[in-house]
Amino acid sequence: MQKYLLRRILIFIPGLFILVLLSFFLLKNAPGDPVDQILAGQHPEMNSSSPSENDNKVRTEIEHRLGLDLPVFYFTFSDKHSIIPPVEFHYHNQFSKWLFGDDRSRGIFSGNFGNSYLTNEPVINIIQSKVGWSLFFTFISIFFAYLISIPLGLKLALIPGSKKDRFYTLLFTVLFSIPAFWVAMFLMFLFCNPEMMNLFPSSGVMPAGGFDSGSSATEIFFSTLPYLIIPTITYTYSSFAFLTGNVKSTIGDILKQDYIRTARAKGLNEKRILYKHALPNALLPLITIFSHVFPYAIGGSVVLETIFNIPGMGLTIFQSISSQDYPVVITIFLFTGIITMLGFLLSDILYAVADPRISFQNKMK
Amino acid sequence: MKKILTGILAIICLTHCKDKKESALTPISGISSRIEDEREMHADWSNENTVIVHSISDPDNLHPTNGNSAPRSEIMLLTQRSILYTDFENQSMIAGLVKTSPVASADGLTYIYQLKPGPEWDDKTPFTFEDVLFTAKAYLCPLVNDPAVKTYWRNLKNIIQDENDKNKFQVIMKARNIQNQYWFGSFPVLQRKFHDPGNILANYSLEQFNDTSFRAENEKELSDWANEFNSDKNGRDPKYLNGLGMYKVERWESGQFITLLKKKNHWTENSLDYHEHSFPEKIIYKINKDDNSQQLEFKNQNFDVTNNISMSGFLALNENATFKNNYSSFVSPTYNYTYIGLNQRPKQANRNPLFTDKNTRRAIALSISIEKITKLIYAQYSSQCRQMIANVSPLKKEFNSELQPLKVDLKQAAKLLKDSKWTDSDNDGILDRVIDGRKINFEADLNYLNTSPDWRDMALLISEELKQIGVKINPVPMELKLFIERARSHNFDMMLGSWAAGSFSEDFTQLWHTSNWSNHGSNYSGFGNYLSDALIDSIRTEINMTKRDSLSKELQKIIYEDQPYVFLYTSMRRNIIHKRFANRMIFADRPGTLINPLRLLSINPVITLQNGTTP
Repeated sequence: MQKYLLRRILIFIPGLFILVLLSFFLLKNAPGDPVDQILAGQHPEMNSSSPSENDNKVRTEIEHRLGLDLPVFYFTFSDKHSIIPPVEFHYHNQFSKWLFGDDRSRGIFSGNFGNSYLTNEPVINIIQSKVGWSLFFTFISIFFAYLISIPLGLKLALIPGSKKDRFYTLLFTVLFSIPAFWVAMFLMFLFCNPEMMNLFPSSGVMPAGGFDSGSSATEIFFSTLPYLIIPTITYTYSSFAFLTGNVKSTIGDILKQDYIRTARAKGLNEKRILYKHALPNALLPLITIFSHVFPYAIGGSVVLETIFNIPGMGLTIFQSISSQDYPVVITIFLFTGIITMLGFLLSDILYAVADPRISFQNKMK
Repeated sequence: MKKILTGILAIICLTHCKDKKESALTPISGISSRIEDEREMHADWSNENTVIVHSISDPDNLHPTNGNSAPRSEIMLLTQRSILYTDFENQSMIAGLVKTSPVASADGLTYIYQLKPGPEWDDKTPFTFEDVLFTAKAYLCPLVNDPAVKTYWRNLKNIIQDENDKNKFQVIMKARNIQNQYWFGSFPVLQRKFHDPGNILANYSLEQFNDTSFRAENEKELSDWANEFNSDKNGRDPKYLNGLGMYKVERWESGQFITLLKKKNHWTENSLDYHEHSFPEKIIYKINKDDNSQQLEFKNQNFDVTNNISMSGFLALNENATFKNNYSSFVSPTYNYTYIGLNQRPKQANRNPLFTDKNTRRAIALSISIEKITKLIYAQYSSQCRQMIANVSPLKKEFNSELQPLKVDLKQAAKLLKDSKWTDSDNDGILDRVIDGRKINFEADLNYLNTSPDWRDMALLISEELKQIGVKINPVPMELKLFIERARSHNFDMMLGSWAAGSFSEDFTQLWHTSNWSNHGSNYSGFGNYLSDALIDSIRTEINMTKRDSLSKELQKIIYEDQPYVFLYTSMRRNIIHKRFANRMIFADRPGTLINPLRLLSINPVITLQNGTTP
């Protein structure tokens, strides 16, 4: 197990390095210039009386301060006459600066991910303040989705082809096909509207102005709860529809297997067959799906965060990419890579738990 | 299930059974307007003396020097004070922390200021000349991250305190510039004691900071101070957000809200100047980016003020009776304008020379109906829109009113095109012309921003309009960065864009000087020659306003005749203010509305007369 984990981590490090380097190159080659964004502010209408816009001296200063005047990454082949010329890496470049820092900043190896170009806020603070909400909504929605879809999928798998099954299959197909933003707006107009049912607040994750300093944890919880209900339903509904269909078809396939027939022939009761023999085998696809949740968890949802005004990662990533805020984007990519790796590792462990026939020894071969 | 179906039906009914009555709004056409107060509070209006302002984004930061965003400027008006203020009602700068507006020397390089008694910081220490000098040094220090404004400060030569009067000082500039009269006063002042307790900047002079050979990064003390000063906490942590303004930031919840609290016993408490009023006890800037959600917030009376709502949202709300009972809503002019840039020097980017001659550009302008465009964008409020005639807003004092707005005249457009040798030689419905021995079709790409459906609709309308005169337009949607990059590198035929502007005398250098074409600046079209450059330089350095305005009018005439842009219309601002507040004012200048003078009707009901005075 330890050997396996170590091997996985060692394989992952160069992958992570390539991912980050690739994202660096992509961003650098994207149209536009972060300096323009810094000078223009955040407004699509630029100011017609702003001398800084055209001041090359100012532009050069910003580039120098941010290290954008350095090459992104470079190495040379030394001129020694050999079949494979030795590669020489150079450190005076943006990528090295980000990794190891320079005289004005510490690199990520010192635990410093730099500051946002646009807000000057430390990147780590930005991520810390946003990632919580994205993780919360992703995992709470996954929790509810699994909680509902597994028993429902099992129930439907037992009545294949029935009217009820056909109705639910159609319903889940429709649910899965409806875009999340439409559902979000529909729920909002239904439940947050004084002209309909004004049950929940329509935006944000807390009351405007926050909570009084003397508020207890219970008061904070109950004040926050109404803000979370509609977004949670929206986040949950599509994955719940997808998962239910998945459980239903997987269990349906398993129930046709010979060993299930054997179990029934032996006279085992249906519940035991379902929970002891069919369900553990149906868990593997669900674990696979679960492992893919992690990158989404850190990525958040731009659309839902905009509609519900949730201060999550989706909007942060979108804004950082569109304004070429390199320190923020690269750090997010880095974290996403690490989280993805952790997700895959976790799914491997869960595979072994769910199916004892899967061993780490086999995986290492 | 039944309930859900009922809900769906109700929504369908709601969205289709609209009140057909057009909302009766008071048109606002000038640079400022006072809105008549309601006579009484309604039972369902909140009695809380808190104004909730709708904002669409967080400020980049609230650092006193290092920031550049619209939400930031808006909050700074409440938390900071400057030596001069913008008088929104009269398009001018007025004395703020000084007794009177500065008096300029004959050469336009020296300005004398005298601090007024009274202003004091939160720790009750008075605002002094030391703070003024520190402010200038902080802005000018090479290690301070304020690139967006440093350009302004580079024209400052020195500040000298009067020997006999410690509250009097001279500001000496390096070069004459029309902005010398107000730039110095328009920045927030900083408290030396708060931002530089070790008095590090006292060891350095403005001359040193102006000297290009001065190596600031080698000065350890200065570097340490600058690192501390630039740090994020000074722009984000309420404990470190210090200012002379009437309000203090209490809490900033990123992506959610920013809360400002009124300061107790503030030095502005008895001020009669509305810029210094502070009637609301609390002001909350609540962030909401989504159109539909914003509408629900207004229906729930969760917002009090906005000027950040989309036109479609504004129109939808104004068809809702409940909303109209609770809110006053207005469309008001701004100094911003929309234009179509025409590339008159396309060779550099190897594009076809479609707009290289004046007649062709004028023909394009004569073929586009601005009325249709404004109807498309502003619907029933389009009549309040102003047509741009040249490069200066009709709201400005320096606007050249002798210039006649171009009206749609397809005959004249066709004649001008014919004069420019554009004919349909192959009868394919598209004009063509032989240039340098090569036949070129009059087919142009029109770049526009993909940020809003309005841009797309406008681009399509323009392409339909120009089809009538045999010009084929290919609308090309673009993301903002690519749009700007194409514009700066002159790699476009036509571009649909907008400029934001303020009430002050404009410096035309950025948009119209030829140097800003060659250095890939904001002269996208390639307008100008040595004569227009000389005129722009004269306007920039002329401090006599009468002379300056006459030069400005001359430049407007040149631009009008040259038509580097098809000037379209001045943008309109959508304002919504809750009726529970009195003292509501709307301005053409940014931010459009002042929050601090809003007075809750129930606390202090005063009937405002039509002329804006109170009995």
